[in-house]
Amino acid sequence: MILMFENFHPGIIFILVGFLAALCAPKERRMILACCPVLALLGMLRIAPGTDLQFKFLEDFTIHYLYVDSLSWIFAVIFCVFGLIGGIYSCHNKSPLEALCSMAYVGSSIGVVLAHDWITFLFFWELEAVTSTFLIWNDPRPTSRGAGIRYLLVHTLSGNLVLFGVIMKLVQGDILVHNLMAGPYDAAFWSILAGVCINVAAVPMHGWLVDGYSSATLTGSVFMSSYTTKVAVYSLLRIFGGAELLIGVGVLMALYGATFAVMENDMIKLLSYHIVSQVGYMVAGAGIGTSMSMNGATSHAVCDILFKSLLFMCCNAITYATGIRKINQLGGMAKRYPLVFICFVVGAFSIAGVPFFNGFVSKMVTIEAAEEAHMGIVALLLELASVGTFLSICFKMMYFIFLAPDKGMAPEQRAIESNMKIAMVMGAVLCTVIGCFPEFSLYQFLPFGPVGYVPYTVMHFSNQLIMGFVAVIPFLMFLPRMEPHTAISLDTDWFYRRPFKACVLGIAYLCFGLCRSLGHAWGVGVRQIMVVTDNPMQFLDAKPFHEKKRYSPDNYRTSIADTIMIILTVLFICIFYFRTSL
Amino acid sequence: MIDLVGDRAKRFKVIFLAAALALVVCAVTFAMGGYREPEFFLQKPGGMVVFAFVGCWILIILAKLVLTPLLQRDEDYYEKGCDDSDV
Repeated sequence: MILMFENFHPGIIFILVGFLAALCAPKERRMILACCPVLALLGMLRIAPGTDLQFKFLEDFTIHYLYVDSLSWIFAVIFCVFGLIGGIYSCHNKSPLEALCSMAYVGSSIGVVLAHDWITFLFFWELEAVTSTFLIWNDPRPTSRGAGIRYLLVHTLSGNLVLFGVIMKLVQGDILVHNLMAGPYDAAFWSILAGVCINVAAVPMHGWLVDGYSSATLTGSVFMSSYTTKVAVYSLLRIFGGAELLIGVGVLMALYGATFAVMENDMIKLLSYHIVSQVGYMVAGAGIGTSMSMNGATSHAVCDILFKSLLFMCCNAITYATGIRKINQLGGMAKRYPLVFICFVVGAFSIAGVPFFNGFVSKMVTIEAAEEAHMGIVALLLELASVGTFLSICFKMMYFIFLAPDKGMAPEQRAIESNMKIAMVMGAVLCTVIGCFPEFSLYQFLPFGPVGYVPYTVMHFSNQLIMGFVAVIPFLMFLPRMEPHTAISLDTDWFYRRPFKACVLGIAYLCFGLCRSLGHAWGVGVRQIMVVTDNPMQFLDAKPFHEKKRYSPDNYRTSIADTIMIILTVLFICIFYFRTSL
Repeated sequence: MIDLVGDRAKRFKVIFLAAALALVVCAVTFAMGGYREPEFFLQKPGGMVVFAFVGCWILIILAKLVLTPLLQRDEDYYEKGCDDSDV
């Protein structure tokens, strides 16, 4: 069975699993979603580095649909691992469409990282956008329809920018995906960079992430938290590694996400802001461009997939059980759901970079790389974002959701499914194993040479502990005002949800009004011409066109005077003509 | 469950405990020679204590006192006065 999947595209396996799950009855679907992703993972592990599978396309092109080097390998493996965890977490779902879309989404994400030519890259890039949109539309809330349309519009823009760049690259004869930093810095370069930056949720183009993820289904948002932005991070590392512009973008993302998360009341929106923040570390790492920073970005992407999805799984499990998404309506969840609380603590400590959890061994690599590259300000600002992570996840979420007294506003509606608990425990175990044994489980697989970073030194250890202990003091001093209240925070999506929408609607109404007026005028004109041509004699009688008369043969009889007049006119014209010609 | 909002005494106990722990970790690091040859502000003794305290206040003030009044709106802000909430 395993041999059968040797050199078989793991992304295609995921897509086939999705189709199979969608076609089966719910009981079989549960088994397929929980077990079949293992085949893709085993298939991926059996593909040897250096493999480059290809076929001819339209005689001129060679499609390199499966290319494995050390960078694509580590991303594809972690995507398969989380595809497995996500499959287990979501296998109780009744919706066949969601099963298909979630697996196809995982498959297309793997397709992007294994693509070696621009056409395959673009194909899976677009497929990823479409399949993830359905994870939003599958949610029954009325707001999800609009959120899905906005998500699709933004990703269509991103896809079209990449398409434009890819077409230009193909015209130049540049077929393979490679690092473009050697130049030329032409329209293709900027177009692909802009497309990738939209998908990486670079500020200010990040509105789609918070808007879309918070509107997706409970299990859909778990998948979405792990793939779209990480695929874009992979693309930055592959195509734009060393672009200094990205350092500023990454630092801005890290701080912006951490600050907005402090204000947020919706659990998923808060975590979405932390995706923006954590991806900022990766973008900055890609921008610094040293082997240490690129390894830092890669390792943080791997760890982020695990701890962020774990946090999403915990929060969505609580929403699944209580139907509540707002932090200010929750409280006392640690007593009611102790397993979820333990898993959340692991996820929170991981994202904050507490020793023995995976964020500690990945986040600090990028910060240390910035220090080594003599970018002290960058390192300081990334550390500041790290303080923000402690503040909003380790303190705010953990206290108000789990440790604060129960407000009694979230009675249990249904029990958390056992498959959800298994997936959360798997995520928590992986976060802890990588945090405790980074060399064995992570560093040896990093693609840009030896990592050159020792996480467990006295300095690193104590700095993270001090950060946690000290940051809790302002939080507690400000605690009565730290509790979020029922409100939404306006973000950059406001521009296309309010003024841009008003502009589009205004233009649409103008066009509609213009078309209606023109159509009305045209209709009147045509009607009158029809009346005239229907009976020219009636027109000559100068009878009103619009007057509808009952049929009478007298209406179609002309008077004798008209006939004589016509005959005399023709006669005079003939005489005049022949006289002059003779 | 712990009511730190209403119980001020408990809150101050936790604050003192956190401050004490931070100082202990700082002292142990100093004793173990962790601060040898500092090249960066955060590697100096007490550097992280100052940074985390000030940084945390900056984020709280920015988020809660500056951005919250500026950017927070009612939950139905986008739906209000809008016949078509599709886009």
